[in-house]
Amino acid sequence: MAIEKYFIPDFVELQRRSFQRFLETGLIEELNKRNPITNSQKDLEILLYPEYYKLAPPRWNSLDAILLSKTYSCRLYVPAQLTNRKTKQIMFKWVQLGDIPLMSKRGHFVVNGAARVIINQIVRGPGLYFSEIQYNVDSSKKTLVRRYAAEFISMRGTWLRLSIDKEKMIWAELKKTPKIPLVWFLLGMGLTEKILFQSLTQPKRLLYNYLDYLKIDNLAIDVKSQNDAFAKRALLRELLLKSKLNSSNIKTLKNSKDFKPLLLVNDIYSEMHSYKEKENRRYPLNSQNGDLADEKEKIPYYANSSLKALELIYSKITNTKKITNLNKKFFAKQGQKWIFKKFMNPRTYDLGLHGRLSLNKKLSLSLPLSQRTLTMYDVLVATEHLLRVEQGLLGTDDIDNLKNRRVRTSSDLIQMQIGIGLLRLEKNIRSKFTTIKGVPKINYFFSTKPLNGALKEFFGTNPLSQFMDMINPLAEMTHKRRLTTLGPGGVSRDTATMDIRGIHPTHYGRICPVETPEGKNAGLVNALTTFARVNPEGLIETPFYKVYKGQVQKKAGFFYLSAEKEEKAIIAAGDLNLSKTGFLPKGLIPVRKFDEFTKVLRNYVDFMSVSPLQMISVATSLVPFLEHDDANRALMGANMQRQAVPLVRSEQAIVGTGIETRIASDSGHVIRAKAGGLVGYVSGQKIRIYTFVSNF
Amino acid sequence: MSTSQSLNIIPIEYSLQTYQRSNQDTSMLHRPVVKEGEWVQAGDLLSDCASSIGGEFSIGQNILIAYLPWEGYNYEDAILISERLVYDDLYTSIHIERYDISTEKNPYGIEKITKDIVLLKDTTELNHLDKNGIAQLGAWLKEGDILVGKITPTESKKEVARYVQLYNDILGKKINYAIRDSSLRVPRGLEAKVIRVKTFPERKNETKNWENKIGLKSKALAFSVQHFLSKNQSNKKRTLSLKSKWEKETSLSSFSSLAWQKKSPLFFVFKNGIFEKLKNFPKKKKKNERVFALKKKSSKKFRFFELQKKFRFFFRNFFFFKAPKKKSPLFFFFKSETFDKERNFQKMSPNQSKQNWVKISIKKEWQKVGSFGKKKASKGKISFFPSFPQASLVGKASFFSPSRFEKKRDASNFLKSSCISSVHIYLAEKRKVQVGDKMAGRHGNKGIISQILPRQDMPYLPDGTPIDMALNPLGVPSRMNVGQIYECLLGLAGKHLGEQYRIQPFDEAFGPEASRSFVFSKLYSAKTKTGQSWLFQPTNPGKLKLFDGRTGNCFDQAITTGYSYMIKLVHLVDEKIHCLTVDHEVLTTKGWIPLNKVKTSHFVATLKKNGQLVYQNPTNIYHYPEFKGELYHIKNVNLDLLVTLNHRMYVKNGIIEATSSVDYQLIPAKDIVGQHKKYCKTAFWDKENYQFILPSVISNSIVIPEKTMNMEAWLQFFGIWIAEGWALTNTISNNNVTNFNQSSSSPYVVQISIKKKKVLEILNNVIPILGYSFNYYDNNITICDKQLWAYLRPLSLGNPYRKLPIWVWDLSQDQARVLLLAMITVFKNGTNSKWEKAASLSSRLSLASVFPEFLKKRIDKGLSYYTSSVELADDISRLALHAGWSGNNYLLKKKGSISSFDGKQIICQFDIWRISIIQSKNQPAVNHGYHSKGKEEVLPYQGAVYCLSVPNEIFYVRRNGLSVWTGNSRSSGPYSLITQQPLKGRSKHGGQRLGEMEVWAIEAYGAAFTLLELLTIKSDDVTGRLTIWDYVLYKKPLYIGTPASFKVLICELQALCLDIGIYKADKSNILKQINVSSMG
Repeated sequence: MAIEKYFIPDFVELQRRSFQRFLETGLIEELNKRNPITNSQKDLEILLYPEYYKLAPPRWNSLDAILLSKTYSCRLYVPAQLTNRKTKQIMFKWVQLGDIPLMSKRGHFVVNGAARVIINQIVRGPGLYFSEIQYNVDSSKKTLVRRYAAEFISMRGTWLRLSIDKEKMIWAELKKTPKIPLVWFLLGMGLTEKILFQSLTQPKRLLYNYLDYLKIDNLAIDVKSQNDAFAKRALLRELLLKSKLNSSNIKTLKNSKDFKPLLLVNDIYSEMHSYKEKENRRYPLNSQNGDLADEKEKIPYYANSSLKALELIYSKITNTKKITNLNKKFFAKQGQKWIFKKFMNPRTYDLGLHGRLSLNKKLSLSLPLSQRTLTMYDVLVATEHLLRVEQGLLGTDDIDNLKNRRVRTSSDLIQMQIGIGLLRLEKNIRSKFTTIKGVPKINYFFSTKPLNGALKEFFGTNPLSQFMDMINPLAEMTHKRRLTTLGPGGVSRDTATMDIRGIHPTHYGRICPVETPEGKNAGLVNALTTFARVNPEGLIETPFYKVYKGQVQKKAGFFYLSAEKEEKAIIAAGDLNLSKTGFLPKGLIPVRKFDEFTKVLRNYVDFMSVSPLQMISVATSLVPFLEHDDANRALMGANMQRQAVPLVRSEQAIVGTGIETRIASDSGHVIRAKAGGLVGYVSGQKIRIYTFVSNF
Repeated sequence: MSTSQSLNIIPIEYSLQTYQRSNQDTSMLHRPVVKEGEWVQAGDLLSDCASSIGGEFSIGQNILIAYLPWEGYNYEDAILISERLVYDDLYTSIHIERYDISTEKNPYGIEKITKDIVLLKDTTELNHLDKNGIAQLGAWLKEGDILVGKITPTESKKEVARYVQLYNDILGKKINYAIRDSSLRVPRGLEAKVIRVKTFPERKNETKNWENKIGLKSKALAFSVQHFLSKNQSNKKRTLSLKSKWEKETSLSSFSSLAWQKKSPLFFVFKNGIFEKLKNFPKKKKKNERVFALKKKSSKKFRFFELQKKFRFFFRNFFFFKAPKKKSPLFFFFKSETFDKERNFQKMSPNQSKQNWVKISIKKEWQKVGSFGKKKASKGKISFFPSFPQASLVGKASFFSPSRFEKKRDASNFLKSSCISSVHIYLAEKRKVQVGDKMAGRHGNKGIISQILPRQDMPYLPDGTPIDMALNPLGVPSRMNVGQIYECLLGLAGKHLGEQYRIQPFDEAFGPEASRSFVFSKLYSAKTKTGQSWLFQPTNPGKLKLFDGRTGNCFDQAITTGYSYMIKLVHLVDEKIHCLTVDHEVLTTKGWIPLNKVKTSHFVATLKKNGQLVYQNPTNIYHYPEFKGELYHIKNVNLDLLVTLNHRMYVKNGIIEATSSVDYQLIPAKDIVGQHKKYCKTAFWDKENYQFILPSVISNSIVIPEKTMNMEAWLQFFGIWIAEGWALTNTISNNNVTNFNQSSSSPYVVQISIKKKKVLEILNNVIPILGYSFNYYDNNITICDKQLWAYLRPLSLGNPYRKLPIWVWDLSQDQARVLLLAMITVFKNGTNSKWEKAASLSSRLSLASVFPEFLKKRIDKGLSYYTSSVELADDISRLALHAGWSGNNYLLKKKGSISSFDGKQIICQFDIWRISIIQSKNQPAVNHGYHSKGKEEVLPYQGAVYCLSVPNEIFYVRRNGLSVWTGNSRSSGPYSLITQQPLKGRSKHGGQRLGEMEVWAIEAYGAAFTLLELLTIKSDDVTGRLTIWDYVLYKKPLYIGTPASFKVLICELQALCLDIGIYKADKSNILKQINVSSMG
């Protein structure tokens, strides 16, 4: 019983387990992504067998590597097979791909003689998030307009954002490219008009972007003066225009059997096409310069087909106004290439497994999990959802909630970098394919440079690979348990708002509310709590005891809950006095349900916290009488212990918290016996222990 | 069941760290906690680390603290400590630093690590060095002592005829070349012990140099060897001399000297190689080729086992030459890694490759042998070289233990002595606690040590124990870290009870006020158990009566005292160095001065916040001779700076286009690495127009009066003259002169050579305005005027010595422009033809308005001045700054360089400088991403750095002629002596206002009292005394004013609508009311 209470997980397990995962699955996964590599004629193929990879023992151990200013790494060998379809030959060989830096037992790397730590990064988990944006309509900031946006966050690749702007127009936005009307984008993704407008509940909402375009007065006159059919359409248009103010009109229109909504819409844009064509005829000069259409940049051309949409997209992103019959095809092709490159190419865009899972879940799709890129259906359904969010039928997401944030551990970061290195290697091999003469040998294709270069780059320059803080073991350990939101793919410290820096209810038991640096990094760099662990999905979990009918089921062990699982649970605090049989006290018990604190009877309690230390980090739990300290000062107290210099003679503290032993042992700085035995020799250099091993 | 017979005893060894260096220079070591004969279980603690005791993380000391103010030394959280903490080494820490030195190549040769430093032969400085010139292990070194002796050649070796060289070698004659002592010395302020030395005999990138070298010297080498081989081998003297010669020639000496021993198999390999070289033995060559072929194959296998097989074979081949008879560690040169060099072999000719192969094996591998063998041996697998027992023998010895070196010394001595190319030397330094160190408790109660008191002066407890530390009581209430009080009291109880407590936070589960009741109960039991009743007084729970150590008197109030766990924090001092390297020059009124030569008496060009150029005295000059760290280097077409990472650059965001100086900020270099930023090169020169007056002269006993010149014309004239003119005395009236009637009489001639039409045009206009007449003949303009001549004569120096007169610096910005442009017109035509073409073209097409940017660029390129005078070049770049532009100095042609002009070869007699004037593009951007001409990098650096601080914080600096504004050294101003915090806003004129906490104290004391004090005592005291002194000094009649508080009082009363006033009696005793505000 009592042992459960003192159970605290290993403090650097996070790093070690992550690296282990990398060696077991991550590396193989990354190698598999590049398989097979073929030349353009498809007659030469290189196939790796990543499952059989081998690592040669490192040349230096981690200590010698520091002294010799070397890297603690081992060579990676993978069996490779070269198939020559021309000569019908198959060659097989072990090839060296590069040197993989190894993590030491203590959870760090040794690169060029300096111990380095790869700290864990918290990033927004891949998936789809709806958010609200508030605009000020006037400068007095009194009237706020609420608009909504949907953001596709990928694991790798560009983030796509579907947003509604102040004028209620809907756009697809990407970083560093001008925004594109969503209709173009959807069509460009490969949807047809028919599918697009049939599957949305409010198809006309999408056409909002073009309404202004229709407002041009002389059109109405022109149209009216033409003939009856045109006049009818003009009327329809007028009605549609009004409909944004008054929805009853549209209802009446709907009810009258002539005008089905789809028809209506079809009418509208067919009219627009005809109008445009005519205009082109009338003002050839203007339309050539694109002046008319771009009087207001916001007013885009309408696209009725994928091809047209792609043309327009490409002209928009390259900022070329002229679309002539000559370059039309080229533009469409380029546009398609662009969209493919950004969102459809598995080599450049990757949602990740969790991204696909979360997308499927959020959009109630059932796309296969192997589909790691964006599909047109994703965007289509997301559009539908966005429109519903706009109507208030669906809620927005809280991006600060830990269920929406994932931890990228050191292995993920290395894996990504190895992916980059292998991509370079692949490129290398492909170029070598083109230059070979005669019968090639496998070794000719492989070089260790691409992979080593990528890794060197990562360990040397990435802000997440840090010079290890080794002032004392605590500093070292907290460094390895650090979580940061900064770095590539994260937020920047200049733009970070207070929301990101603040404490969120889901932080309980996962991220320490106390330990964070002072100054500009406050709240962006955090510490993992003592009991928390990171699951393979990258979600932080914290343990709880199950409570069954008021009894705390300690023997049932820990239940690790992620932020999402915890959301609906009623959780009692960890410092409650239990009866001898493990029952919670009678009467109302203070409990927490997501972000509200209430009191309930014990029978309603689902879980109980494991320990009071559960919610604070390692360094913070070294502060005795923490509950009597102001949080700001506790923060300083936790931070300063990391800066303490080891003294020639130090003393054990008279007043401690009991976690000191764990810190010493988990840091790996003290030596513990691997096996029992008799101490045979002790000196300042070595200790020899005679162990008895029985032979079986 | 296993019987006792089947039990095996296996020794497991744990090797302990001994004073390893951590990333932050703290020490890491292991202290065994088990004794021989003890029984341990798996998971038991065997050894503590530097910051653990008994397996518990412990980084501090439990010391007796009291919360009391002590003579103001607690100001702003400062801490007062007892000397006991210093002398008992309670807060002593060991810091280990690593110093590196490596030899490099300069134009005169390769540096050498040696004890043989001629310059220091007669001093004691070399005594502590071992024979390689490296400080001995355990040596205790002070600042300035040599860590590693190194010499740098400063003179190129003279080419000596080979036979002379041989002669010298044989007779053992040494030629002393000029060298410089470039030893690594202990940096400033360090007193430390050498605890570890690591030498590196090879460097990777050197191999190539070696190849070249071998190639070049192979003839000589062959010659020497041949010579040797033909001689009797017993001639030791000769071999030695040969050896020494080789040492100079190539680093192969180790090899050669080994060869003399003739015991090593290497000799034969070598010999064989040489033979081949000399005679080209076909048979042996074949064999060798086979060997190489084998190597190629084997290198591709990574399985050790396979390798081993090959090895045997390989060795068998070699045994043909000679098998080793005795133990020779060098034997292991033939190691697997050797084969990795295979690629090199392929590229080289067989002859070369052989030598190289041998060489590489020596250089690369001899070090790894130990570690390799060790690994194998410890793993207990098949020994790498099963047939040679010494493999495991060497392997077992720890690689880094000196004993191993000891063993190997005989054989590898020369190897070591001659091949060391880089040395790592570790110094351990003991740092005792001192004033200025930062200490803290665990509750965020940090402070800086302000004073160390003798223990007899510290307050003491009723039982006579002096306290160790006095903390500011004000540090508790407002910070609300009450935990420290609990800790302190529980510590006191624990100390007396001999107990330790481990208390998990959040103990409310045990009842309300659980912490307090626990602490008090423990204190109470301490009192009852020890019988020391003062420990717990019910009237003042947790407080003790303390006694003043100086007087023995009891303090008025009971004081919170107890044992608290305090830690010493690392200091982060590097923040304070923001500097530049020595190759920067600073613009002063005395011209450009190298950074290290600037004095506080110089006037340095500084930039006001509004972008105005002002000359100011630097307030401080900083010099850090031993900077070690990283530097930021930015190089561009227009700027070049090499600064420490926290040096602040004067930059603005790259995207902002406006030219105003408002957006510029001082940002540390480390924060702008890789960012798109714009630097600034210009300033606004706010100066009144200057009027030049030509001084009066006496001509033929007539005084020619001063002449006020038309500035516009004068500047144009003067500009052209300084560029292309001279003044001379025409004593003999030659034919040319007589031809010109007007000036024939005057011997005082001022001439300007005209090469450009444009210049002539200008002068045609300008000279008449100045009131002179001139002749134009033979491309020279001649003016005969004594006054002008008298002024210009001293300025008419030879081209390399020209400079601008001082009055130039008084010109206004516009005037400076006129002068500068005038000077440049002289060169404009030739260099600008392209531009003019473009301009004329564009004007013809009336496109000038379309391409203004394009034209501007052209102008920028065109405006250049060429001179051979360094001074003039510097002056012009300064003038450009005054003109609101900037100038970049480039060395166009070096002295002695040859250029052809009109088909003739011209040798430059002097350095030719080109000053390019930049008018519009004075905000050079970096990292803009258009093109990558610029260079930006962070480099490691060791050496001196300098900086200065100026009131305006920004000064003008240039490196390699590229000038730019940059931030000064330190801006945070003076530091508080006690707390070591920057005073910033808290100080004015050196005075210091109340600290934050003192303000709280005053609030508690009562603002009313403060007001009273300020109004009455302070104000009247200071102002009253000052006025009286004033009167005394200036001998005025004494007049004592009304106290300020009195005035306040009156104002207050008047505000209450009471008719009240101050009246003063006249001489005639008539009362006169005085206005309160006008009272003295």
